[in-house]
Amino acid sequence: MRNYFIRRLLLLIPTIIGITIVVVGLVRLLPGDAVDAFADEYRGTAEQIEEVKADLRAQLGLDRSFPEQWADWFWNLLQGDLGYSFHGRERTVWEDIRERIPVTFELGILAMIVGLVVAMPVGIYSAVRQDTAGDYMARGIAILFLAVPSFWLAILVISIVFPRLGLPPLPIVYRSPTEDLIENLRQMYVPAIVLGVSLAGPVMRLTRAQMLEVLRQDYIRTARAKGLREQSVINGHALRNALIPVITLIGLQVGIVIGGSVIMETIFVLPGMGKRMITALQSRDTPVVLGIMFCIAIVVVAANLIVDVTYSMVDPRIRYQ
Amino acid sequence: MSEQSAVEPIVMDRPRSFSAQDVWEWVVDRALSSPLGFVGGVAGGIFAGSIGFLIATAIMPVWLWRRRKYMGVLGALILLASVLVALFAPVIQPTHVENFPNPPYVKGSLSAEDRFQSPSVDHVFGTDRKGQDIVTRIIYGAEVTVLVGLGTVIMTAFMATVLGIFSGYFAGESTSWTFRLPPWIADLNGGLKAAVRDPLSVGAIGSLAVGLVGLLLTLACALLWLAIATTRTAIDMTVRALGEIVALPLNAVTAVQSFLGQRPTPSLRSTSARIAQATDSPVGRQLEDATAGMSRIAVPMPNLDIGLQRLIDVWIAFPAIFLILAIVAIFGSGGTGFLGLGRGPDFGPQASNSAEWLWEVFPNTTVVIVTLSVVLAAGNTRVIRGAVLGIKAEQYVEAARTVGAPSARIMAAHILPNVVPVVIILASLNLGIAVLAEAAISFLGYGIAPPYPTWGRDLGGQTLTDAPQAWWIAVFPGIAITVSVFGFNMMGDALRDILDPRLRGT
Repeated sequence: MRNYFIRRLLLLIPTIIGITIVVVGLVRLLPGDAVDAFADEYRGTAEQIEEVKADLRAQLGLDRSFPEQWADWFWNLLQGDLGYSFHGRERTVWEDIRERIPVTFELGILAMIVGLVVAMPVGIYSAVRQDTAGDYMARGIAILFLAVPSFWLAILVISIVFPRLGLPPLPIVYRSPTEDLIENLRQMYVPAIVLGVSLAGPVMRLTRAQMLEVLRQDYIRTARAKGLREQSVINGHALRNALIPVITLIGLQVGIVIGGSVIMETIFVLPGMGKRMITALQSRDTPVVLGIMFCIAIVVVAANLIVDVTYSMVDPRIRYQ
Repeated sequence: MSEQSAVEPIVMDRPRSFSAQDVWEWVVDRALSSPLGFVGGVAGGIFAGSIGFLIATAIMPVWLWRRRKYMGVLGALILLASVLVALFAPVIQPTHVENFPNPPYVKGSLSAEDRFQSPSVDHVFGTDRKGQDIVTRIIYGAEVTVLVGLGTVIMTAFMATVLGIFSGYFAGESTSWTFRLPPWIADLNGGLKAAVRDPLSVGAIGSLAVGLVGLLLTLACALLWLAIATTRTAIDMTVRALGEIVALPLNAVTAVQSFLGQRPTPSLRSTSARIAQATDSPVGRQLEDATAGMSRIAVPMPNLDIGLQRLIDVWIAFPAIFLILAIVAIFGSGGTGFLGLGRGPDFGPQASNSAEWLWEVFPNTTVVIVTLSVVLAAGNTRVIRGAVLGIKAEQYVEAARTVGAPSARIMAAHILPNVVPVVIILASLNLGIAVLAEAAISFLGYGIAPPYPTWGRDLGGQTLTDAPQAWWIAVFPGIAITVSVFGFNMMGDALRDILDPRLRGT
């Protein structure tokens, strides 16, 4: 177990170096740069503008080769420094990101809670009552959830359901939970439900499939034969074994949640990392794009690592060869 | 093909009845026999695959119906319908020519009475804030959906299959990185160490000098070897290609004969074999003899599998939509277009339609397709690799290895046919994912360029502010996405149940 964990940690090193290379490479390929946007405000002859641009590029380090830029960025990263945004030196990129991480995390965690609360009971019910009307309905709804784009659901809720029901519009100005919890939750619950619903489909289907498989096992028959109540057969014997792959799926959904938060944050005007990523891409703000891409990749890698390690702790058969 | 068999007329010991596997193995052998055959085989395979894909789309409902997968039939019909709508969009769209200089899905005049019309006989799904007919835009939007969906699926399947088979086949094959260090490295190393202790000692200077000479000699030899190898390959390929062209008609005749189950005419076969032997690069063989001493260096073989898997580790660390946003931002999707193609000519409704296809829709969809398939292929490669690991343990693969079949033949003739079910299942599941992802990118304003309608883009922009007054703007494009993705998923589920019952529910 310890060896497996150490091997898994060592494998992280090339992955993280690879991530930095991909991130710096992608961002370096961005057409045009922030300098073009700055130079638009400058009045002068063509040569003067070119000169200013060259100066700015040298100042921002954009004129150097890819390995140099990568080495520079990586070295700063090792010192915990993600640099400054091109559009203002009053705050570092890390401060900018640190401010936005809680928003994205809160949204993601709420969405996962919603997804699990919806999916698990329905999946278990649907497996226990296999081939009843309730099972068919639950499966149909799960498949439908898989097909509905979350941004469409969000638009329908905001612009049709809320006005028709006469509900007050969602607050626009963001409040952090420490500042005003009620207002914060009022703002968060709709995106969390919309995002959670789109996560619920796969979880529900997997829970159902796993439960069905486990319920056919011999030890379930044994448990029933020795006269246990159905309740404790399901909860004590079946569910525990059925949930192992479901845990994996939940871990793998971290990436999907973060991806979905881009859309939710854009629609619901939440100042999270996804929204910042879009504005940074539009303004070609290289350091911010780099920082956000890197942080997100690290979160996903960490989630995958936790899933793998938990999995091998719960089920020793799956340990790395 | 060894030299002896090339001289004697080859006796074709083929059974009279051909199974699909026999035909496939024959194709693989032809394709692996020469460079031209390889190129032809790959090109022919892709072509046949695309044709097969279209035929499969058409007969899928019937096939699933006979397997009693009725929800799958519904899904297959939805796929067929969306392909047909996309193909015949200019014919079935209701606006037609009244719009003249503009294409049917763009409204030229912004007269107030055309805007925000509720659904009626004239405008079945109503009109949007520019007075554009929504049903027309949905019909044209199907083109992008189908193009992106099918394009992504085909590209993903191709990339994931090739990478997955290579990765799985070579997994655990060459785990040791066998670097054979040339002696000059040891000399340099020892010299440097000695120099640190005492820079002017005889040992340090001597070792360093020997090491440097060795380094220079190695560099020179490497350059020479590279030059010789390049020239040799070029000559070789030219000679082979010429021979192949001469032998092509003869080969074609024997191919048809053996395909029909007849015995190939011996004289034809032997003539073509003689040509093959004569053109099997005498130049190349002589050069190979000359350079034999140098080319027999033990080449360090990096483990392909481990390398690929680490690459995929990195690739799947990024949530798909972030990666897609970054890549689409790099290659551009707005008015300037892809590779600087920009906007093309613009005249007449039908003409401008095809022109837009060429100049705007096609380049932009290409970026989206390539991006999506690169993102999807990373995960799929893992799945296919897993399947290959299972197949590799089967006895027929073992048998093929025992008789000394080359790796390329084992991969193409024995492993590939057996991963096809997995590839089909993944492809049908990718279809829905690709359509949803394209809609999401377009919704955020990074997809296909604006004048051309896509379902996702029609939900973006000002839909959020318009929808409270005009619900139809927000409802119908979303229904189009949901229905098509629902259908694609149903078809994928049915295919998975039929082709691989073990994967059910994943």
